[in-house]
Amino acid sequence: MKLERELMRGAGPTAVLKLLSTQSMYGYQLVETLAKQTNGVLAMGQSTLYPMLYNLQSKGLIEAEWQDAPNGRQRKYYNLTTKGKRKLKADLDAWKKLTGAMANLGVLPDTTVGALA
Amino acid sequence: MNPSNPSTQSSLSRAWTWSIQYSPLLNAYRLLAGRRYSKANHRDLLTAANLPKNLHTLIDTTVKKTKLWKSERADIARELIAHTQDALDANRTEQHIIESFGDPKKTAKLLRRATKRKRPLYWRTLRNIRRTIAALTLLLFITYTGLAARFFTGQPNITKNYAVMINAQNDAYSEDQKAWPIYKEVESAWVLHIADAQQRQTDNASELNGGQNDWSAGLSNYPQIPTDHRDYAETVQLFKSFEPQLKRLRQATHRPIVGIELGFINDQDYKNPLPPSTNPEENPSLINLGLPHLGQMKRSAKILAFDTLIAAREQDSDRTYQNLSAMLALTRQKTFDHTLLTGLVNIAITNLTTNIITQVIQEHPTLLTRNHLVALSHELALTRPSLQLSVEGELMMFDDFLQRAYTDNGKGNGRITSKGLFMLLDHEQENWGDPSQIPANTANLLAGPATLAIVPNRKSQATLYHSMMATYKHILKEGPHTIALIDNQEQIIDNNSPIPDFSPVTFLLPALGRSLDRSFMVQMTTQATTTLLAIELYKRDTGHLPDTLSQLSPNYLPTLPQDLFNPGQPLKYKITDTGYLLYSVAGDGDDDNGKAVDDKRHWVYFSKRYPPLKDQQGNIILDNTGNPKLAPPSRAKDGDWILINITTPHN
Repeated sequence: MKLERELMRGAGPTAVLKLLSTQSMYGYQLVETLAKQTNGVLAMGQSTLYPMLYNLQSKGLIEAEWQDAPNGRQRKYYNLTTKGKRKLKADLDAWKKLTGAMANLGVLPDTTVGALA
Repeated sequence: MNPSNPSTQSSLSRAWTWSIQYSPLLNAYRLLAGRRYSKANHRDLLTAANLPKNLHTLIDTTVKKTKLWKSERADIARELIAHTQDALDANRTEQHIIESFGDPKKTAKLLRRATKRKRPLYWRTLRNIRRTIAALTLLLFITYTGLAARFFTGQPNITKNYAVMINAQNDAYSEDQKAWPIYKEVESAWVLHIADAQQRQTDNASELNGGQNDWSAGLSNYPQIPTDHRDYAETVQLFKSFEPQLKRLRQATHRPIVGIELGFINDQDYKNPLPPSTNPEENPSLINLGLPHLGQMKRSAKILAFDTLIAAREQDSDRTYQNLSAMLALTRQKTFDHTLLTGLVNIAITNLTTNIITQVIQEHPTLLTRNHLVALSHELALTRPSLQLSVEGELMMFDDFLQRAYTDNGKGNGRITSKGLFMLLDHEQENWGDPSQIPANTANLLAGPATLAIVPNRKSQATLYHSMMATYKHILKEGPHTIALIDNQEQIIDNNSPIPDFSPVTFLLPALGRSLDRSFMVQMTTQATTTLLAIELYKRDTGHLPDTLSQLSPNYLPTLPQDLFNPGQPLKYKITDTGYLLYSVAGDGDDDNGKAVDDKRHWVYFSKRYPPLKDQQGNIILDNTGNPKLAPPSRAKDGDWILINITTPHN
């Protein structure tokens, strides 16, 4: 199942920031990880991913660096900046409040809120 | 330094690094820095990647459609190639990769938008400046187009035919009541009569002055030619031999109207005036209306004045009187233009006449008979109404200008038209309202619509001008103590005319202040001359001068002559060892016992005698009748204005 466009626009950047908070990642790796860890819910193509990454970069939330990959080719790796970390923290707080509210309404199970911690 | 290693740089240096890394203007830097990808374009990278054809085409199409800078396209292509290669390495099929990629056109658009957001501050600033300039240019263009449409489509509505209305007033009079035909004949005859002598006298004067221009010829200086002047005898002879025509001239002055059919100025010498058309649209602006009779009347007055002096020196009392009577009749003769200029010419002729009367009495005290003196006194009294200045002609000229220069919305308002603008510009070139004289060049046409924003509208101009003229009439009626009101109005006009060249009021307004001074002054000189005649009559009847002016009233003077510099008080009268003085206290407002002011500038201006009180902002303070409150006349010089000074012993 894929998210509707508006939901993806809200969730996608937070998901990418969250992934980059653990390690530097390149584009294809991000696509694969998102698809795998979200069971395809946040799966996105290049037409969605790269504009999103460039927007996050223009806001100073992430930064990019070309590096040599083990297979000898070049890959652009994305890292979270300090500003990006602050933004991720704020986003997570917001998501907690949102999911808590949705749980209170019975839209989400209570366990979902704990998963965001 | 490795510009692609952002992790070790501050945000400012990252921005700088970015700008020199991606700006097409700084390729030179990249060459010097030895960047690996500086010369790569996305096609080279795609060729080098050796991707399957469909994927190659997909990336090529997408990157091309971004229309970004070459270096940005290369960077995107390199990342998409890496992504695709990773997918192929992970055994994704071509079909799967293409499907997950999304629509190339939409992707290109999103990539373009996101990449441009990453561009440096200087680029975004320049882009915003460009956009602002473009927006302003567009706004200007739209505004200009709107103004141009209004400007070039605006047409005046010319309904009133002022020139025909003025001339039509002559129709109520028969031909033998009109003086103009005789004036023209006499003047033509005079020009022929003196032509040879004038040339001879002028050449002689020039020769005496070493070949330089010289204006001392007798015929250039009458009536005031000294009796010992080299040309005096010849000039007198010329006048005497012209007596039959002078007689016609004197008779013509007593006809009720001048009776000239006014036409529009068509050439420099007014030789071929353009008769007004019955269709007002075919006529030029009324400002172009010629008033040739004014110059002719001034010349006639000078001829009569000199002939008066000749007659007096010949002891010809009848001719002396007839000339003086004719001069006064000139000022009473009706014209229908009702312009300020006509009034000022009448004042000038009156001043000349009163001066000549004084001179005749001074030099030939017993020449004029008692009847002559009484008649002159009466004729001077009759002259007074014609000395009342009128601005009705100026109002007609202004309203005619407005009807030709502005549109008419039927409610008294309108906007300047293209023809009107050319009339305003024409004023600068002194062609007075003939738009055909102004070249409709590109600059004029382009600038024209913009003037809609700076040329005041019709109603404001009409209101301002009529208000100014109403103030002028108010001052004429109230007296010289209200003269400061005109300055007040001129200030209002200045405040309303930020660009005077484009304000019809500014350039069509005559010099009102100075004409008011002249109007009040001539009232005093005519009263003083009437008093002089009364004193002479009193002396003849009693054998001595009156001790005071009050002895003249009511038998010799109906009312005592008023001193307009001394409200409510008559002119001062003083018997001297050699004769008598009639004088005004003048600008300082106090009696200096007939001591003349040496500098004329200090007493002729009533504004110096009646300066207004002003508030801290410099505005005139008005009383409850709308007239200015007055300050002390501190600026005037000590002394009196001597109006009459008879020095011949009378007792």
